[in-house]
Amino acid sequence: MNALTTIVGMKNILYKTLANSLTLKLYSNNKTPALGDDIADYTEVSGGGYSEIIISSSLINNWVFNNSVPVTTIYNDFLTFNFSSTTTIGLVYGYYLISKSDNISLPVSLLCAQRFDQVFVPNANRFISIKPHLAINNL
Amino acid sequence: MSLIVPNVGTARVLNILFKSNISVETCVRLFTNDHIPTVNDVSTSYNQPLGGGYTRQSLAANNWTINTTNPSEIIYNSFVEFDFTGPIGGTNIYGYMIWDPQGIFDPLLLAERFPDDEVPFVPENGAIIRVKPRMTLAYQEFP
Repeated sequence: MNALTTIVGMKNILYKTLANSLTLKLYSNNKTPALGDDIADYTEVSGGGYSEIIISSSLINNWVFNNSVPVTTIYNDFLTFNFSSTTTIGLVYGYYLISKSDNISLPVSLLCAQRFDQVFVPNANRFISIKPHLAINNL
Repeated sequence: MSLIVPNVGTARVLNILFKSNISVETCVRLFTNDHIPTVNDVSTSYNQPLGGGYTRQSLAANNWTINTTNPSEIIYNSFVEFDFTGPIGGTNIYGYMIWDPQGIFDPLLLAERFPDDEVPFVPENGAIIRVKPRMTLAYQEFP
């Protein structure tokens, strides 16, 4: 019989991760996320008024968890990137979420990534709104 | 297009869970009820031994090895040993659990029933149970 991670266990695991600081970023390289990815596989957008969005640990209660398998969590608000002009690089292909560690000595790590269905062309007064989410499963 | 939690992402959450419990470490506990673990279990789904020299065993935060694969796996670097000095009040052992005492939803993380030919385990003076804790987590496409 295999060790079975419970739903409450997986919720605890996600909670502890999200209770550390997170950074939401956009990427500008023509990349489809894959299981073997790391941070270096993504080129962050620059220019055009873009700036990353910090999701601090104090916002942990903004994450809503389900109670079934797979265990999912969704941020209960949209996070918005506003642009003031075209970016230096040009196009936006998707977003990625970075995990920092506030009280422990672990390096910064890629947590998840998603490519948009359509490539986004930044212009003045255009914006991208994202509702971050995560899902994990036991085996 | 689907959200991807890459291997480093699932490894990350395991790292934070098991390697960052500075104030309270995760621990292994045995259970005495004839129960087959399910995903819906919580800590009160299990009975714990009393007496017979039984004590829960803490898991040191710096004693884990993580494999960044799919599924990601974290394995404790040594066996955790339960030494018995006698019977445990007329009950027997069926398996073990891993607990996180700081778990915000519930302390229970994981449970495993011992193989059928090894349960129920009847403790007596000098009996030993060795457990090598591990946990796996897999990428899951967002439903």
